[in-house]
Amino acid sequence: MADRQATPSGGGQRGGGSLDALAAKAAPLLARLGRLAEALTLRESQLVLLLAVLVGLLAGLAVVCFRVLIELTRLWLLGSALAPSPLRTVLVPAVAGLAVAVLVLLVFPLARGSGVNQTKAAVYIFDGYIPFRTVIGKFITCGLAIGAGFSLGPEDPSLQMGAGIASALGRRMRFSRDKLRLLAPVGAAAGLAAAFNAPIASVLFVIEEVIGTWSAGGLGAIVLAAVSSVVVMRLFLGAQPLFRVPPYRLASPQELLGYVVLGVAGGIASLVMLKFLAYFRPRLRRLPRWTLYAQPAAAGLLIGLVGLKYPQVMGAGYVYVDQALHGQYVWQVLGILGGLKILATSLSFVSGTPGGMFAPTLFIGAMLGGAVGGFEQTYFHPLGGSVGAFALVGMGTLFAGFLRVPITSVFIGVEVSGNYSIIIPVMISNTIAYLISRRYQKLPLFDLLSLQDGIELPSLEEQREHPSLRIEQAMRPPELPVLGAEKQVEEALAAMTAANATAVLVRFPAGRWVVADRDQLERRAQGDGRGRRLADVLPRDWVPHLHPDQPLDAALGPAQARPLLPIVSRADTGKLEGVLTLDDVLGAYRRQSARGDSGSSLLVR
Amino acid sequence: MDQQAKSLQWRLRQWSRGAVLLLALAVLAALFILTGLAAGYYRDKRAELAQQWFARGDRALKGGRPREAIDDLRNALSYAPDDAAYQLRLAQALAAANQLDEAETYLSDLWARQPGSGEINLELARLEARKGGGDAARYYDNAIYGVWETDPVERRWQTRLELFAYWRAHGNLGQAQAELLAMAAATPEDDYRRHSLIGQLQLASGNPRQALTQFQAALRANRRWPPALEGAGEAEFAIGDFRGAIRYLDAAVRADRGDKDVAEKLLVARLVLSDDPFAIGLDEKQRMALAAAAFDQAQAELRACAYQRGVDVEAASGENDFVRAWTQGKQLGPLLRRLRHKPENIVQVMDFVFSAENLAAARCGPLEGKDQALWLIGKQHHLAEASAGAGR
Repeated sequence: MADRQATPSGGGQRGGGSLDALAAKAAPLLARLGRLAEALTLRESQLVLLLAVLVGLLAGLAVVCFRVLIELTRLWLLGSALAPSPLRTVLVPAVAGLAVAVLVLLVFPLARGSGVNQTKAAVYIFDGYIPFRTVIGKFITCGLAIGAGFSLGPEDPSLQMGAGIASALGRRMRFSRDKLRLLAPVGAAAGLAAAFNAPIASVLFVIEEVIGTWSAGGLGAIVLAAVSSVVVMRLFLGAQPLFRVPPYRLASPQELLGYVVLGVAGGIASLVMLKFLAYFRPRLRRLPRWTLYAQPAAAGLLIGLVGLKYPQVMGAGYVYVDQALHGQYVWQVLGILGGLKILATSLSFVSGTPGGMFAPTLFIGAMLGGAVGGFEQTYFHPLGGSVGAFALVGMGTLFAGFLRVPITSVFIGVEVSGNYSIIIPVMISNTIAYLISRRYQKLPLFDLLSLQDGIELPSLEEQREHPSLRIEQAMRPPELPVLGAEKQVEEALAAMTAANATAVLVRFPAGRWVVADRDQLERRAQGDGRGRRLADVLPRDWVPHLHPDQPLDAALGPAQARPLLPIVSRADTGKLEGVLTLDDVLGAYRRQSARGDSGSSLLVR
Repeated sequence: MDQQAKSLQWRLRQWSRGAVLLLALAVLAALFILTGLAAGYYRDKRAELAQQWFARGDRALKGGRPREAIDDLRNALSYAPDDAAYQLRLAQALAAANQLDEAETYLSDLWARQPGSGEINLELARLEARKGGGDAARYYDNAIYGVWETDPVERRWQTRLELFAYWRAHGNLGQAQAELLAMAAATPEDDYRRHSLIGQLQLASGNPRQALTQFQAALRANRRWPPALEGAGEAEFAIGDFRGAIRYLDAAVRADRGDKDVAEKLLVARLVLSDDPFAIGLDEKQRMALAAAAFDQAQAELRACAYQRGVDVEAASGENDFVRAWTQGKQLGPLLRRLRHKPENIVQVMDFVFSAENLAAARCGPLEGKDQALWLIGKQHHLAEASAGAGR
């Protein structure tokens, strides 16, 4: 700071004495200001938290504007009635599809898709970089597509817009790559939370799907951003939840059987959708480029034709989900709407029209759940709870089966309903749907889309499928001598000779361990260590505590630095459970690789 | 030097970050204002559309086009999903369109949120009544004792009126009567229209004395109120106080000359008083003349009624009510001629008259004019005899 003040002072010498005097007077003040500024300067981690709030606020505002845009576009293009006129119903989605295709192909090429995968790719491939142009493109093209009646939702685009805002802000702040990678999920959580009005489920989704690992750093920033954006959204659009959920009460345990049936139906419906996307999306993308302009228009036309009879399938469809939750359709109609929505959503998505899958998934789930509930109520009365409750559980079920985010799927039901008693049916139904979907469709939706786009991104399901090895699967029983720190050097050497060991574990008080090798001890014995205790001659190079349940990866670093590692009990760190060498670690990895699975029987012991 | 350069670079980065933060805050402030304007416009637009669609739906419902109303009200609710008034009107439209289950869903949902609402309970009661459900009376009671936002006294009174109709339609006359009594108690003294209405309901329920009380209450508030005069006359008529009936009916006819029924009833009341051979104050000659006239009238009515039912009493024979009655009348002919000498035969003659008129009333429907008067005289006579017998 003082250096900086020197330059104007020098100038003052050339300018005259009065300036000198002024500079001399100002110098202490400037120095004090400098110190104050330094004191106020935030550490980078604190700045990230502050930025998370800012990102949350900006993402919240963007999502509010996005929702307003969608609604006003709908009013302008389709009119204010729930069932638009036949001419508009058919023409508007087709023409809007053409316009969206032109915009996506010529102006905003990165706005294509739902937004989840693109955000994930930004985190894992592009160091958290999302061009701001993509945010604008997503805002315009998705607003137009959803407003015009495409069966897509605003949540995933909101997620990407939030991530894009965070990325842009991070770049302007000249954050490091690490921090930029962290900021994108922060923005994603903010965008999704505002769109869903459900901060917990949004944070979980971002961890489950965007970050793809539970060991996520910056969880605090993600939560802060999600909460900030939800506050902004509620400030402008009201605090009412996305859906008005009727009260739920489990009348009898038999009802749970009904939810088992719903889980099966949800799993099958998820598979139908996944297979449709898996089959048609790559084939349509391989068609000549000019057809990419026509595909959204053709999809729009087909959706419009469906909308002539069932206008409910057009757009995000929140109003109809609300109606289904309140049992305002008979089960046959609910079943038809669910089926047609699968068709409309699949058409919208495979045609390359930008927009999200969350809202349609909730719609299909609600209709399917309502249909199953209504059917059971009609024909198997003891199994059927209220149709609204089945619709609510159905939303989570499709989330689990189609999007394959089981934890988010449970919390979304609870958070949207504000009722914890729904959690048991939700868990039953979601688990069944998830298992069915996983059994018959190996790749989850977002992984599938990534692979179709030629990129391979990590996922939590991938981690679940390939769990890491644990130390207990590589460690050996503690057959080597273990010496107390009070033993003499000669005693240690004798014990090593007797056991034919090149290293020995030395136990210090308070459960601390040191590894001593033969060369080291022999040098000590020949020098000043003769007749002295191990505690006096060994350096305090404590071995980090490793336990049998820890991932084997945790042992890799310490094993490279030491010939032998003690594996100790969590209850008593002075108690040895086993020992581990670098060879043991590598051997376990080799065996796992040879088996091609997690190698549950790799335990050496 | 390196250290100084690094420090300078670090500071520059801090200042640059500060500047970006400030700029971001400025953008945030500007966006807040813009978003506020956009969201405000959006909210206003939604509110406006909700009102427009609601008004259309309301008009359609009032115009007897419930299906059109349902679409419009659904549109209104898509812009204001929590509006209870819109939901209630949609439920009414659904009920009017016979979509009772869906209407019930809406109403149950509303009821769960406002279980004490008079209006919602009333709609649920109507729905239950239409569906034949057993909870209608419970909902009506809830509505009567529930919360009404506007004009609670009037709405509760009207609800009781509906509950009365419900009980009467279900044959529970005791409960229906209880509701009428409660309505009467809740009616202000000067509300002659409402007292009159209760009187008419009491009369229709077969409670002429309670009806008369209500009509008299109405007349105390407005002594020239034609419906009350007419109702009081009818009540007196039903009770059998024909003098009182004449007094009220005469006043009613004078107040409202156009009503033929009232005039007919007045005429009959007068005939009851003038044609009764057992009336006090008649001399023998008058009594004989009235009995003879009654006999002729009854025979004529019997013949006409039998003819209407396909029986020619003068030609037919055998086991037939009409023929038996006619034959009995024929046998009374000599008796009638000797009536001047044997006045006690008047009882037998009049017994025939009353039984003939009863038969005609039972087989050919309500009697009119003189026949009705004779039938009423007979009824009164039997009642008097029965009460005299009971007194003995």
